[in-house]
Amino acid sequence: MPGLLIMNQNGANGAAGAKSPQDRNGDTILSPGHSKPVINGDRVISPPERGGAFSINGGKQIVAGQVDIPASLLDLPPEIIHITNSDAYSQDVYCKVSTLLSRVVQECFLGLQELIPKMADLPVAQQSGMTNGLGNHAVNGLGDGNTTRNNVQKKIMMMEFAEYHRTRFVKLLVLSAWSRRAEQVQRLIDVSGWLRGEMGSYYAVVDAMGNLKREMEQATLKSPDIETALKVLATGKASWMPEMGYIPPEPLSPQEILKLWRDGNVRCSLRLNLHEELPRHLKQWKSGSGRVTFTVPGEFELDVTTSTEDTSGPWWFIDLRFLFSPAPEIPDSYFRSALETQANVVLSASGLTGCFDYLHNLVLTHKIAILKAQASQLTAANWAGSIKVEPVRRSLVVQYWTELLGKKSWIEIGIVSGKPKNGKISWKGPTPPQLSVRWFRQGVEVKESGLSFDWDSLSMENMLRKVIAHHISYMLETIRDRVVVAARGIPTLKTEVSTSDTEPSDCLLEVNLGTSATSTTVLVDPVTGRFAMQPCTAFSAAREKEASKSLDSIAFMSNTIPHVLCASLQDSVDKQAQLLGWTKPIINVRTDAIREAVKQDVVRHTLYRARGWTQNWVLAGVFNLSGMSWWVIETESSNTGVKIITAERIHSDSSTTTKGLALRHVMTTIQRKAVAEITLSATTQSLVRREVPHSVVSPPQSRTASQELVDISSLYFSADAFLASDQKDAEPWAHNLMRVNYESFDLEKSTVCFSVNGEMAKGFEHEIATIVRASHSSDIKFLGQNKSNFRVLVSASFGTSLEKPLSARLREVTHLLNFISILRARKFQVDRITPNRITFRYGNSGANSATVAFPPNQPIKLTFPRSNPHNRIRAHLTAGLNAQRHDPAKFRAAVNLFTYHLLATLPFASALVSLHNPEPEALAEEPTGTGKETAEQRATQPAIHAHAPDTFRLSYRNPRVSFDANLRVQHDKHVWHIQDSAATNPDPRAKAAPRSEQLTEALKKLWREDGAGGESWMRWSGRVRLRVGGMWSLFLRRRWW
Amino acid sequence: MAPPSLDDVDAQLKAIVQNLYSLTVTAYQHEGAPSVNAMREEIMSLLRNLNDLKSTAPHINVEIPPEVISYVEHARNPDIYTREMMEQLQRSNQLLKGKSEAFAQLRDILAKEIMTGIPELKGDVKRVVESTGGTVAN
Repeated sequence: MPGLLIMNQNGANGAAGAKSPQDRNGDTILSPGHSKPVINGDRVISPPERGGAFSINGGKQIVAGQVDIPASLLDLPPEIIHITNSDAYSQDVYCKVSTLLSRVVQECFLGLQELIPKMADLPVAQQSGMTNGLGNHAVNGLGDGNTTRNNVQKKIMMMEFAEYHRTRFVKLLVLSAWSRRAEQVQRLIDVSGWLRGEMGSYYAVVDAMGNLKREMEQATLKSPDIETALKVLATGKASWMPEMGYIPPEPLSPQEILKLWRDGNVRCSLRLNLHEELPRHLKQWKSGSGRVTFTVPGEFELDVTTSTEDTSGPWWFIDLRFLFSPAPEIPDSYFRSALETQANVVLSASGLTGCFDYLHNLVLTHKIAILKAQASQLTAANWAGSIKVEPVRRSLVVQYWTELLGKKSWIEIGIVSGKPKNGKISWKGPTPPQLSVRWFRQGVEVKESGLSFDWDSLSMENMLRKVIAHHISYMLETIRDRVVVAARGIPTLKTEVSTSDTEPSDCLLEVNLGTSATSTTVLVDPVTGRFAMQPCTAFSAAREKEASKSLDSIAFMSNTIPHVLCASLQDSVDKQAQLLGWTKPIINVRTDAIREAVKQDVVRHTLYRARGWTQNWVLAGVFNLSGMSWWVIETESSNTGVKIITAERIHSDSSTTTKGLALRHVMTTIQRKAVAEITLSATTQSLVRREVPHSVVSPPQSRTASQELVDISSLYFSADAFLASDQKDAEPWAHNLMRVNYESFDLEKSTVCFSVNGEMAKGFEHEIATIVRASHSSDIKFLGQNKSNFRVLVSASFGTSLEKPLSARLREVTHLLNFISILRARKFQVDRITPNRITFRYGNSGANSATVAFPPNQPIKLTFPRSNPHNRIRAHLTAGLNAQRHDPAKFRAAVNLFTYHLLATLPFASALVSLHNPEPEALAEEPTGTGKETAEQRATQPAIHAHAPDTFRLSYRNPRVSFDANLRVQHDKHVWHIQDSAATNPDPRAKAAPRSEQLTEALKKLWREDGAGGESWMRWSGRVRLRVGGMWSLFLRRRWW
Repeated sequence: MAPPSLDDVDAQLKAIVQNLYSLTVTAYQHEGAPSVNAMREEIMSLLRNLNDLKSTAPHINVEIPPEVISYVEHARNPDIYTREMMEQLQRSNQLLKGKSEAFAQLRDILAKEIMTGIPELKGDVKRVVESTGGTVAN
């Protein structure tokens, strides 16, 4: 304010002083050459050049002039600013005369300089000697007058030049004359500039005052008329209030009201029925209470009325009620009056249709606003952080699952115009604009979503839930489809998607591998959109976490589900395996290798080694979408790792059993089956090598599952082919078909026990009967009605073929049977038979007994009682039996020979025994070896050497003579040839001791005595046994001779 | 030597004008050698005068508004410019005078009103009015 006033003061004084340049020729005010920047309200005053007065703003005065200045003027305003070129103007305010002069002079000179060569260039008829310094001018002069064209041209040029520049210099003269006043005019200009500045100041002051007034509005105190207000509020009127004297209208009687309403009803009905062309959406109306009420379902009820039947008369707005929830009440307020005014304007301008459009748009916009408000509330409540609300002009965009990685998903609520795309309007009339929702699922708009929303009762949360339910359903179905495709129609995989149209929590995907135990439920959290799996295990929890981090969680989940299922399966199997004592071998086998070996998809796998298993065998549990399968895998360690040689599947129906005892039972079965399979497989291979027909028969399928689990495959093979080498020509003792069944597994010894079942051939029942009577062994059993079925137990070490033990076992049986049949054929009396031992009697009335033992894997052992004469040749007999043991045919021959020997050599052997005992009757009880040898005995008893079962040598010491005894068959009779060994086999040592005459004579006599003999031998048949004693008597007799 | 004045410039200008005029005349009434010589003399004189003027010109320290040059250029009398300037200045002056008087009245009225409305400000208002050349009627 002070600054403003000072300016005004300056202005006023300045205006007064503005005359002074004129009046006083500027003596007191102007100071040429002085310039100062002007700062509003802060002018520095400098002393005038020629004295006078100057003042300092504020009132102190210095008087120094010759003019008597009134006191008020002593307080002088600052000097007027002189305007010079140096002021901040974009162009020069003044031109310097000096510059002007120089320029014109220069121009004139340049023109002259240009003119002269130009003139010289114009040729003129030359005359010799007439050249002149100035050239052409002179020549022209002497020419033929001034009439040549060039001459004229030159003259014109010269004249134009001179004239042009003369004009310019004349103008310069004028300027020069004027310039004498230039200084005064400059002052005028300064004053003029100052005046303009002052004018600007005035305008600025007016502006400032206006602004000030406007700003002061805030500072004014309100002064309500409280007294009047109190009076009016208390008593209803104030005595000092002017009374207008209006006459209140007469109240309407009910009859009149009724009449008015009826008239109104009639008018409305008439107009609407007869005159108005209502659009489709306004067809629902009813009249009553003097008004007509239009109902637009889901939007509003509109009451209008009319005062006239005339179609041109306007409709009047009465009331509006919203028909959706939550809807605002329309109170009697500013909004209502504005609405009413606007509605009436629209009604009068475009009638009911226009009013409908207006209100319809109002409702649509308001619905969006309500949804937006609800969405904002949701962001502050339990949906916080997972939805994002963005109003876009009239639409509303709500993005959900904001925390999820990958593409965004959102819904867009907006208004679609009812205009059809092809521009055609249906016969029903144009459709009004409507609310619509566009759903973008992971950045892609879903056109065929089938979403429908309840626009009558608005709930953003319900809308979101609905959309999310659809989204989750889509996700789960996609996952289901992918898993099913990946499973390639495996029947055990059961998938079920439960969807809900409204509740996202009800959408779930249930996947299992046939039983509920492996069931995994996949859910999606409606708020965050993250996957969740039930039951929750450490494995699934980790997968959930990964899924939330992956960009394409659907793909991730569809890949993960098989793993989760298989992991739960594997988990339960692992637990039971631990209980069963299965160990996990530390073997590095890649899943690929396993997949290649088992030739099916492998999602997960576990390797086990049960107790008693050898290093190169493992049991593999393979888990995939078809459940679990069990494989016996033979491995081989190599430099690069573990190599799978074979993989054999253990068939079981256990793929879906997962719980506790049942699973353990299954796994026990699996273990048994695996052991059996391993052995059977090895056996099969060896049977193939030997070209023995065989077949492995799985248990019949007709049984129940639980029974089937226990059953183990049986191996059938052709016994004939298997025993072909053993039996050769012999009659087979068993039916061709034999069955091998698994019996047990010895964990400690790591041996597998199998039973071989078969049926005896006809004709062997007798022997069997004998065996059965005698047998107490568990190794071989005979069953059935006729005891014709037998069962032999065979064991082999783990992982090896049964072939060798089996064939050994069967050979023993063969041997046994052969032995028995031969004994029987010889009419030996069999005392006792076990599969390993036969005791029989032979000789006269079974006087002699023998025992043959067949210990497994050991030589046959033959034992005689001490009194048996065959003790002497026992070693030879045993060797004979053992020699051909592995060739059944030869063995049979050997057994035959053995029995033959027993029979054939019995008399001779007995004779030899009696030879050792001169009085057999007396010596029978005495053991041979322990008898006291008398000198006589030594003389008469020869040393007996058994060279073979049927070849003996008897050597006498005194006289020194030896005899060879050989068993021969002559004319179906067994005949012993006894001859002088010196004759047949001359002994060099015997020759050294020449025989005495008596001996030779005696021998001759001996040989002769027997008529059938020759010079040096005699025949001795068993038939003439009694004579043997004579011979020995002879010997004895002759000894002394 | 005193610095050349506008009078010197005038003389030089007049000489140049004379030279140019002579040249025109000589060219028009060309009569052979005498004319040639005369012309040569004239041209030499012109050059001399131009040279003189050129050397004089920087000493003329006068500035004139470009509008004046424009007036002369269009062959109008520069005094007209002077006169118009004067008249316009008078008009502005009167306008400004009226305005200042009107503001002075406004100031007085405002001061009176303020003093009536807000008596507390009386002293201040008085001081302001007096320092701006007005008087306060008590």
